[in-house]
Amino acid sequence: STISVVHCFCFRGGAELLFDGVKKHQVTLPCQPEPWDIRNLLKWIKQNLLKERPELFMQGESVRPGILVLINEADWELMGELDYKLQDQDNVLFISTLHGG
Amino acid sequence: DRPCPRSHPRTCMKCGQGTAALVIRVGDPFCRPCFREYFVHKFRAMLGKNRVIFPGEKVLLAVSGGPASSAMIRQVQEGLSREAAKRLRFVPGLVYVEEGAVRRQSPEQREQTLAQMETLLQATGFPYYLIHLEEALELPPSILQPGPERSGPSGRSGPSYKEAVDSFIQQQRQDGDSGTSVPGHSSQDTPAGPPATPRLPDAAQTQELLRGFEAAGTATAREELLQMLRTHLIVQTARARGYAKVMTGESLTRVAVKLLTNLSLGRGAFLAVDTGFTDQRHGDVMVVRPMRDYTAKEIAFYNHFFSVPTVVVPPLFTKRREKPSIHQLVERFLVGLQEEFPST
Repeated sequence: STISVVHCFCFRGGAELLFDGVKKHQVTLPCQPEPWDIRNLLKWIKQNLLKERPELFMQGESVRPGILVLINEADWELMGELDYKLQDQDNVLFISTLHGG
Repeated sequence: DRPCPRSHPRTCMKCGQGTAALVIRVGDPFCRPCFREYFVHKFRAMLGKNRVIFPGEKVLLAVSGGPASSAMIRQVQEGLSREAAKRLRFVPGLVYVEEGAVRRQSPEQREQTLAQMETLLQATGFPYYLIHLEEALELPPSILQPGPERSGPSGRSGPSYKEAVDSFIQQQRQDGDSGTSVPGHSSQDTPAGPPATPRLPDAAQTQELLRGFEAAGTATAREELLQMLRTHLIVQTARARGYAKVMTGESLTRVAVKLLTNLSLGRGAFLAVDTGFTDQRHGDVMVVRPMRDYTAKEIAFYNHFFSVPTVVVPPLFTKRREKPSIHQLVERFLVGLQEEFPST
């Protein structure tokens, strides 16, 4: 569809260090013909938000192993992972579990 | 909508009712309350099954501000506050080693980290000790010798675990246990009152420490050096303050990394002590790893759902264009493996 949607991304566990230390981002994703699923969202994040060392956040088209993804406070494994279609006001949280002691 | 190929059913497999919040292991969806129970139960079962922490015993929790050791603090708090029959029965203290010198932190950043950690530690109400890694420069050579094995709290040949529990319960009955949450501290521990603001070490000491680390030729050697110094500082604190037990927050992921790393480093002979639940190489101080059955994912979810405070610090410094340490490579390998083959 062509509705623009607002999302909130949060980065925790050290993941925020890759995003200028900013933990919370509230964004309006631009309208586009392709659906806004997590796959496309990650592409967008890589292009627009990721300030350094993309390989520490992403691997291929997905997140790097060790990065957890929560969609509206639930494990993305329950929601279809990369195929999950974003809804308006969805909240996506990325938690890094690397370097955790 | 076509069904998502990689999604799991959304009902909790334990209670069959709640909406699943996360997937544990291979395809086990849990709702939040069932997950909490699972997590808390695992900790108590670990301690109960292994039977090495005696009632009333002083246990030093080594914490880093990281997710696993922070979750460990929370489990100890939860465990101590239960109704008397099932309550955890030891007396905790906390130790934190400040490592900002080797983590590329400026003095201001180090002060900030210290302040955050101190707030976290103070909130527990347990006695705590803050040490700087620089203090490792002052460790006596005797730290390398295992201390004499303690013969048990009574000083004679130690009671068995069961005997210790029984006599403790009897004592409690005599004393009229009021069932209050936090056991009293012995007089030698400093209670967590308003402490002096911790000061950073002399710049000269910091320089000396850094020189030592820079002299370590590879990232691997540096990582090993850090772990060794940290461990020795913790053991020294335990000895100095009368703790015979130390709990560390190594998670399953971390333990697995250590296992493979040590194999790569030629330390296969030490596998059992390095990765087991208990580690008695220091003789009089036993290291216990109650978090070793938790995956990094479980810990991260628990901390998020139940607001466990953590303090993030930057990783150990690396030189430009240096190859990653064996530890990092192993971590990368294992974490990737976990993704693709979660049953491994």
